[in-house]
Amino acid sequence: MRLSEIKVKPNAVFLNIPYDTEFQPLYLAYIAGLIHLGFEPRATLGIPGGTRRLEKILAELAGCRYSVHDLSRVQLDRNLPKTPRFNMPFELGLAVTWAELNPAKHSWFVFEQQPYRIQKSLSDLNGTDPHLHEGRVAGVMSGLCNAFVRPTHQPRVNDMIATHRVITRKLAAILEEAGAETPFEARAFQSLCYTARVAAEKYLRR
Amino acid sequence: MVKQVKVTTPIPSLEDFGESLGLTKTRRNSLAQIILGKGVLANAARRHANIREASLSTKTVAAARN
Repeated sequence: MRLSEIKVKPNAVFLNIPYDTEFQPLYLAYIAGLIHLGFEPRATLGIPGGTRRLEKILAELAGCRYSVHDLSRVQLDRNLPKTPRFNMPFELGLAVTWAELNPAKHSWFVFEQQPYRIQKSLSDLNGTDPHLHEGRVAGVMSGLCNAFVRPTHQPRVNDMIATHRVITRKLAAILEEAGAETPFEARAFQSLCYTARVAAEKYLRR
Repeated sequence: MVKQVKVTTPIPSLEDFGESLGLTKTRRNSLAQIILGKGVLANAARRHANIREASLSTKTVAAARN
């Protein structure tokens, strides 16, 4: 299917973030925050490697009305050979291009941990201020609330934190139900989104 | 200045959200149980059964009257 034929889901958000244990609290913060904003988070976790991976990433991105790109992981990883991760800036590049070609279909947002660092790590983005989260769960949530404004139902960061606590506390059971070893697997991601939505229900329906 | 958008799309119901994720009803129930506990779902099921039973008995009474 051609990308232009893909139906855009108005409340789907493509999440382009690091998938590692160190990032786990913020990974759960993005899920909880987006759920409270009434969105459906999407990730590339279920997309297998291989020649068609890029096509599938593009299709997933094109099906989402918004994308969130966290560029806070700029350091070298621990595994040899030590390299920075290029996937996140690469996928941001795809989103920027897609949005330029289809401004009514896509909007992208950049998140960072440290102020001014992006001016060095990705100076092509100068003129676009990232949402800063300072490596904090509440920082991610405030950033999401600043990026996405709901005139009739703007969620509260405290409520998002409450949902984050619930899914963090129940994480072992959620992973067991999903038959997953880590939260960074497709089935676990799906389960986390749904359980976060269940936990957020009382806030969304009041 | 950071980017900001105004979002006006309706928030999907829990059921619609679960379906959109591609979760079966069984999985949705089992995940909901993790968060809400078995008691809450059991109570909801009992309430549903009671309402159905009450509705059936009302229909039986109405049928007997006719």
